[in-house]
Amino acid sequence: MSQSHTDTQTERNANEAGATGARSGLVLETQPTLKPTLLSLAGVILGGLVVVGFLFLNPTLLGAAERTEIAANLVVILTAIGAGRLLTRLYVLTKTRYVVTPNAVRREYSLLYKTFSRELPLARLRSLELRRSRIEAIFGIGSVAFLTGSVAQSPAHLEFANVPRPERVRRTVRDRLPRDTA
Amino acid sequence: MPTGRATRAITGLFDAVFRPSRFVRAPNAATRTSIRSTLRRLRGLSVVFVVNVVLYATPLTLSGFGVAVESDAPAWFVPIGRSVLGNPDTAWWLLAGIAQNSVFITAISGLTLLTYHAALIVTRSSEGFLLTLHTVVYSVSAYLAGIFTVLVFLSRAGPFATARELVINVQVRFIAVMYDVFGVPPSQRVFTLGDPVPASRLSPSETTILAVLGVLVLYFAYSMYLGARLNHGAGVTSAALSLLAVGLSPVLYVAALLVYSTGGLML
Repeated sequence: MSQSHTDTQTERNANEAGATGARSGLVLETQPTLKPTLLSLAGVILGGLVVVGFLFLNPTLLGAAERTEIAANLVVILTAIGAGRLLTRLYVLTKTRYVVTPNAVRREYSLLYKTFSRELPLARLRSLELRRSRIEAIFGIGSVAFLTGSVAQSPAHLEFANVPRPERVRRTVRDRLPRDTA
Repeated sequence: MPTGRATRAITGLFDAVFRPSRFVRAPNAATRTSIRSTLRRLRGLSVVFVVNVVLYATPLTLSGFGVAVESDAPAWFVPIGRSVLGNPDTAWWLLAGIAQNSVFITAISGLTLLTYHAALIVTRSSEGFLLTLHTVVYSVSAYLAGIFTVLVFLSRAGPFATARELVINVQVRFIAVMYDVFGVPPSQRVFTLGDPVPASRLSPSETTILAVLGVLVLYFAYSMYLGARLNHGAGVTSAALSLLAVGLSPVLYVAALLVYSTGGLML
């Protein structure tokens, strides 16, 4: 309940801020890259196929062939669920936009007639965090988290995940931070 | 707001299958809240649990499973039953059946809640009872109810006789071990171990349904693990120990039944 309430609030704020942003212009607009998710999807499908193939090549691995069949079915179901989850994430990523305006950073997506937008005013930013896993480094992407330093369960209030050229995003935001924060 | 509820139900179902971490995570998890807020969350969780248990038990009751009540509705229930379903006896039969079919899942949920929270306290990972309750309510509502539904389906579907025998055999083996541990004399043993069921008799559809059962068991265990990790911030070891405690719940349940039915321990 409170989550949807917060979303509504942020959505309204985002619309207001979006209107302001439109007036004063967007500083940066980008989308997350699909490469890591595609790689994970390929890994899940390939891993599932390898395990199922191994089980079928060794039908008596778990005793009776039917037991091995149960295990193979279990792996197939889990692989399908994993692939379904990643495909959903891919779809969401294609609908996601990361926006930097002169006054705020914003993550937004539209999904099945539902719009979600989360915005953080630059005045509330306390620090920026750039993270890069090995795979992200290979693809030249990374994640930029915007921290407010307020009390919350998670310190990162907003994150641009899997964003191309993350240094550019960080630099762009840093250049626009109020002097006492920067 | 029926559309909102339907959307939430669909999202919940989606999360239960594809995003268990989001499904079991307690929103706005705060360890110290006011009594009013605590009671509000307690009421919310109770509603979620009751609604899900009724959703689980109603189809079973309507299909005639586990209904043993054949008496007429008592006098105090007649006006209520008449206003709800028109026929007070049918309403009473339905209510009693739902209650009867909910007993086992409610009992095992209570036991899971106790063992899980006790383990979290012992490992000094507990961040509050409400967070444990949230984890157990959501895990039980989705995955344990799913497990029981598959078991009931197996117990009634004709083409799944071998799978049914196999599952019963596993349960009887477990109870036989408990009989031995508690030294229950053969004359007092309700279940006797039959011949092992050869897995080679399983049909492809039976291997599939048993795989589904396995997936649900894995989901249930994973959701309890995630609950300890995400809601209580427990470490890997503490979360694994809490999961182990949940695994011991059936042992405690059967032990309690044996003590009750035999009138005492004979260790």
